[in-house]
Amino acid sequence: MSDAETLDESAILRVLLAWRTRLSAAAWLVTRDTHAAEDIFQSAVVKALSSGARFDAEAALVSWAFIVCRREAIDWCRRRGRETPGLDEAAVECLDSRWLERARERAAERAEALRACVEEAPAESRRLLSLRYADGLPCGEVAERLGIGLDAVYKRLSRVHGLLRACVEGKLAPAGDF
Amino acid sequence: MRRAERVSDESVLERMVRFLDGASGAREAAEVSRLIRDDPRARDLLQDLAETAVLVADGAREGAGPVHRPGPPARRRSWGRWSSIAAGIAVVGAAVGALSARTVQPVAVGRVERAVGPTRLFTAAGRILEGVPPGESLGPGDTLESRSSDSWVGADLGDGAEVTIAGESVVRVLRPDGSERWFDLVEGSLWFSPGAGASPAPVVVRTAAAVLEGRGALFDVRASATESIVRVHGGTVRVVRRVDGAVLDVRASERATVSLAAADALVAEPQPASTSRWRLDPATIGDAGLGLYRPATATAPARLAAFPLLWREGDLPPVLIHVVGAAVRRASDAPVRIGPATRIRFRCRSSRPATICFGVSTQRLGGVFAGKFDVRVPPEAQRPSGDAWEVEVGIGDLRPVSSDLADSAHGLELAEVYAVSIVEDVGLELETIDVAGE
Repeated sequence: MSDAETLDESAILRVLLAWRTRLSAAAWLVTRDTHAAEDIFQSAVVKALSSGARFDAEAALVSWAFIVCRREAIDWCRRRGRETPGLDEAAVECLDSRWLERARERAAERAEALRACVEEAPAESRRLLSLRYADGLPCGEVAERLGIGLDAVYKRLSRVHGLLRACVEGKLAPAGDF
Repeated sequence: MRRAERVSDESVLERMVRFLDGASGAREAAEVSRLIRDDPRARDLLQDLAETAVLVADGAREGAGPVHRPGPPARRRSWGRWSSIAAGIAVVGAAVGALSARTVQPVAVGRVERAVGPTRLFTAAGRILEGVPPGESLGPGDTLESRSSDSWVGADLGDGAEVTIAGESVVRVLRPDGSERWFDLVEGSLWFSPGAGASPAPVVVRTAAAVLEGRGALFDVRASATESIVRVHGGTVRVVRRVDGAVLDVRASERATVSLAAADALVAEPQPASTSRWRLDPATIGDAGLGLYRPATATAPARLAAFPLLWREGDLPPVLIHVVGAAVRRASDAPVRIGPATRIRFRCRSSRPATICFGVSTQRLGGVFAGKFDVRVPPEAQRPSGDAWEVEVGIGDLRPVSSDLADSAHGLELAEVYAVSIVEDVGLELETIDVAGE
């Protein structure tokens, strides 16, 4: 392969930044810690740029990055003795291939729609999401903060996610499609 | 979406929310795995959930948008700046802004004081700076590279403490933890000198093999993918071996080697006494050689060949150089001391006559980076010797490259030694380097 056919550093960085949310999300599914997921994504970027590895196409780079993020996430959990029951290998493979399939989705529009949906969400929903994911509190502590039961937190969170998803799909649907 | 479908989604989502909270046992986790394998819609739900989680955390770090958090975070100490990468993806940054809780100023861990040679900064926001400018702020998520043996970066950590990144090194700035400054040394070497004061802020360096914590300690660390060597020159550095969590305190005048393999005992040992002699053998120098290895042939011995680099410094236009040399610090177990009678003899080959720049980079004995010294030798001063030619450089011939560091190499420790052709590729190769002195 000639150098001309490989992604240069700027292209590698551009691709990884475009995939940042999904790569971080893949790491988060293992660590369940958004800040660790962020660190793992950073580490993948550094490795891509400094390892000397060559990528001849975006798909090759992204596949590689998913594997790196997943492995680092597993290592992160092992180092901290956080080996909660996870997804089995076949399920993880299904998730990864689905993520790559969804590359053709209008990611930017989807994110914009999500932004709008979150802005429109009730204040209590935003607070719930922030406590759970930004502060990284387990649902039990979220329940204590909000003064409600644990089951109620599970139900409210799943309902917020469901509403956000429905809201995003509604915003992305062509006019007259409803 | 039909109401029945939404209700069904919420049921699946609740199962996933419980699973991700760690509330599920092995049987429930297996059931979620089955769901993911069998149902494409479940995959999308889980992925959307995970992406929402990441975006929410980004928004809080960015600190943009309406305030909506009642108090300080319970588990996290500070908000990183890497998420400002999301600013490069405008919609993402905007989307999560709505969830942020408070306005957070970017965290500055340090400021670049000086950068010499080919250096590069990947900022957390996705910028790439070729040739790091003095005054550039360093924050969590930034990655610094010094790309040749004779390049380096010095940064002020704000309380008088300084970090110097040696040549051929990659360092990432991590989020501070309280007053602790965290760095990830991917490869290469770092020097730390502490600030003044009764209670200097600690510095933590993470490498592939170890986590090192120094509080008011003067130390340097060299790291590869499998091994780290820490040398302490003042104070104490606590070393934690990552593979098994073994802990060791390394004190002044001691060193410790930490390997990924836990079979060896983790012990501190006295630093070896310095020597005044060293010799480059291209066939055995391995990773400490700076150049392309060329094995011996019928007509020539083994040698190292120069490789091209773009040299950038400040606002000056980049210059193409071809550099070859050796990282003496890595190649020699004992520090190689430069004395008043030290002489360095280079035996080289080249395809045509050209002026060659010969130089050394140094560190203080038991201390921090001390600067580079070099001399340009025109073709007429290169003495033919068979098919090769030789140059002998005395310590008095070397001139300081940086006026604000040491003004003489005398009394310093040899870190790297190199030969450079500027602009022209003259096929420069090194057969040997001999360092000799009293």
